[in-house]
Amino acid sequence: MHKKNLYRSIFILSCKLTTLLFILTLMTSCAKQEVINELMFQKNLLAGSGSYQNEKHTWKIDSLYINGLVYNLSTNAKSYYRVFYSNGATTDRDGLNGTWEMPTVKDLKLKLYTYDNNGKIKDSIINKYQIITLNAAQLHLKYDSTNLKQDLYFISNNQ
Amino acid sequence: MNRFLLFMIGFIFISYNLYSQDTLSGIYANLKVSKGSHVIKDVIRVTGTFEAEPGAKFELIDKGLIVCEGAINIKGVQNNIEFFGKKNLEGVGFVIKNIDSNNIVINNAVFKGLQLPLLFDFGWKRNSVEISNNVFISNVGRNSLIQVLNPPFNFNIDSSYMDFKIVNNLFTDNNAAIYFEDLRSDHINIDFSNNTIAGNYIYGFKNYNISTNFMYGRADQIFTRFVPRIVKNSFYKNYLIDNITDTIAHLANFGIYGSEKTFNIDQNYWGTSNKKFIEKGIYDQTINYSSPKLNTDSILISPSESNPLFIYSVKNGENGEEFQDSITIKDPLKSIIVASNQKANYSKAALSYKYFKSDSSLKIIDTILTFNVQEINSTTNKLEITKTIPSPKKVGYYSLKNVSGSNSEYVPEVKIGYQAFLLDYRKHKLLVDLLKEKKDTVPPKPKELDSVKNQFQKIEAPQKSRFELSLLGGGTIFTGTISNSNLFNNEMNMAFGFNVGYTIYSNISAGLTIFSSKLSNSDLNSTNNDQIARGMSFSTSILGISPSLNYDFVDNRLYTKAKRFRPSVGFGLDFISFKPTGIYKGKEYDLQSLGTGGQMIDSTKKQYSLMALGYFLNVKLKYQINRFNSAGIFFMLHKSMSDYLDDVGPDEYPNVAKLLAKTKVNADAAVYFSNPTSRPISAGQLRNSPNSPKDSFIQFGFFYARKLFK
Repeated sequence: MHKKNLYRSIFILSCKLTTLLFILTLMTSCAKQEVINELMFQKNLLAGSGSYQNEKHTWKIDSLYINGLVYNLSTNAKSYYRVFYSNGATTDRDGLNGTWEMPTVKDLKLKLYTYDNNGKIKDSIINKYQIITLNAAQLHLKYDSTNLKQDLYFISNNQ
Repeated sequence: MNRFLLFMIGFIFISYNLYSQDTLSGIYANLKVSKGSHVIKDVIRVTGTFEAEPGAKFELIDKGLIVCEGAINIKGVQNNIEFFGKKNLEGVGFVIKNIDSNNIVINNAVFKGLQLPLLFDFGWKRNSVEISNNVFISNVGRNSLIQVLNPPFNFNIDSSYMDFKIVNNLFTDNNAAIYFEDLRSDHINIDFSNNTIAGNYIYGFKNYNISTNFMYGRADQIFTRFVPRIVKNSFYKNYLIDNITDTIAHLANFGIYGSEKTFNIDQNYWGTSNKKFIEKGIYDQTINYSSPKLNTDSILISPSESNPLFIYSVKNGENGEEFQDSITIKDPLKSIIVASNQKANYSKAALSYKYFKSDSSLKIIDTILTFNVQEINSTTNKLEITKTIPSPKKVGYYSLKNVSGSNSEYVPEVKIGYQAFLLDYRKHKLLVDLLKEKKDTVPPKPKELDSVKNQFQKIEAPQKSRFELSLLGGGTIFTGTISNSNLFNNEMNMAFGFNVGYTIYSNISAGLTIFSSKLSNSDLNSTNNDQIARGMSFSTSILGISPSLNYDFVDNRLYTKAKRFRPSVGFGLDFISFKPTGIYKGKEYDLQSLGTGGQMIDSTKKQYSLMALGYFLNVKLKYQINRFNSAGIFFMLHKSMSDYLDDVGPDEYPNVAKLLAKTKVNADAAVYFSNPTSRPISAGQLRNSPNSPKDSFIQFGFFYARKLFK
């Protein structure tokens, strides 16, 4: 009789232990997938995620429309590019440096600096662009002001 | 080179045609079989006409049987239609049944190695039957060679009848008899003539009786309409073999029973002109007073020339004396004189001498002898043996085979001293069995359970008690291309499944596992900078079916408290269904259809399969709670043969412009997933190393198992 009770206790204990371990597995085994928000994702597309070898993205001009008309790019102009760094900095082929911000997924703000002869910041201008398209290959920015309307088409220049 | 290829292709094509076999099965309204090889493994039924064209060869295997309910039309040329059984798996033959007004013609065919070549089943009826110019050879069945049961005629009222002819056939080396239910009948007009019946060994019990003759049947007084015509046949050296001892028991030619007073078998050749000797091979009133008397007053003293070719006389070349059946041969012969009923061809003949290697062995020494042929007359030849063998002083026999006729007809094998050899065989067999029995009298050492020698014992338990059902639950970690070398830095997902186990041997069991899980991982979990720079990630649900074979360290028949923990190891195959996906701008995309490895832009590539074959190793530790229930932990390492479980194979980074142009739907997503970090890449750079590209994952967890039946 005692033995029977002992086996019964062992069996119940085994069942409890198995259930406990099973629940523990359930709790710990759910995929730890890091979900980033859309804005962050767009920023990563524009400038990289900041991880190794993904700290900057280079965008090369592909075509340009001014006031709705296509603007024929010269050979020199066709080699223009802008680099966006994941740390918020930006520069272009001609050495015009600054910072970039993306307050929403549709807006891009560039703050570009001019320097004096001593290398100190002399002035800064802020350009606001509307992001029409941004994916891993294409960047379409729209600049809209009273006198000037620009459509800038960039392509990813990472290969 | 091209010629060689053409030759090889031609050779393969011709070989294929030569050796191609057609398997016949099922029910046919009519069956016409053309030249070539055909296999019959089961019962085939022909309700109409069965026809075989010259050159047709039928291999009947095991249950292979042809049931004919209509006409049979088998007309070969020089015996080029063959019905033969597979060695050690001999098929049956023909069964003729049902009533039909057509004819049966079986001509120039060979029936070899079958169980029962021809059975005319009870209640059968045709217009006529002709079995002519056939060879029945080495048929193994011990029931009947040809069995003719009665047709369904009304008793003495029906005036219709049929002609039944068995003419010009050769019967040799068969193990069973020809049986007519009614040898004298008012409904079957039997003509059994001009046949050669030589060297048949009818198996039966040692006591000679009616049914242990090569041909037998009933002759009743009630039937008066037809007198069966049994003439011009040659019955030569047909014996009864004792089933138990395999020794020759009696001559066995013809048997008769029934209420008839006499039955005429005149004008046949019986291998001798000695009446006493002839009577030894017939079963009639002399042995059983209630049987008819066989009339052999007028016998043929030599076989008819028109009989199928056979050798009817073998004499010692030295003294010109006929070899008696009972002769014991211990010393080599120098020459023999053979006589046949027609001119025979000895150019390909093989003469051999066979004897036992030793007294306590069944091993037979078979010595091929060379000889010169000296023609004495057109049908008699002297064979001078040129290769002498040292006298073994052991009982042996001579065998003369492969003699042929002018048209390559088959000629029965001639054996000299075979009767004494079989007796000696029996002695050897008894001695060998006795020696074997002595060896077996030492009781074998009882085997210990769980010993190494005892690991793969067969299990006598009922089939259903060997099944065990397990439920599995635990985790899965992807360890393939997109993963961290440190196992615990990878993403872990839930895994569920169930397993059906089957105990094969005491320590071997098989299993079939069906599991479902999710695999996911990201390069960002890696500590490898290259992987981080690549920045890929994926997620896929997988469904796997995995048969396996396991080695159980503890005898799985045992249930003892001392052996509650039962480890096992095993391996198996995986059939995995998967579909990798990725998230782009909050939406989940099917990565395979995007062609992220450039599969859609390169005409030489194609989309990878969403089914992967793989293999796995598993380790289990089971705790046996009681006889039926157990629980435990498991660990499985799965290796996939596909590298696309995570969508990242050893493909080049695709050209973005081409990818955009060629991808019609979700091009931006395709571009993103092809290079999620937009990393700078050099020409020809690969997304994954080709050195060890295969994906893998591990599973671990707990299981609960229960035997379903007692």
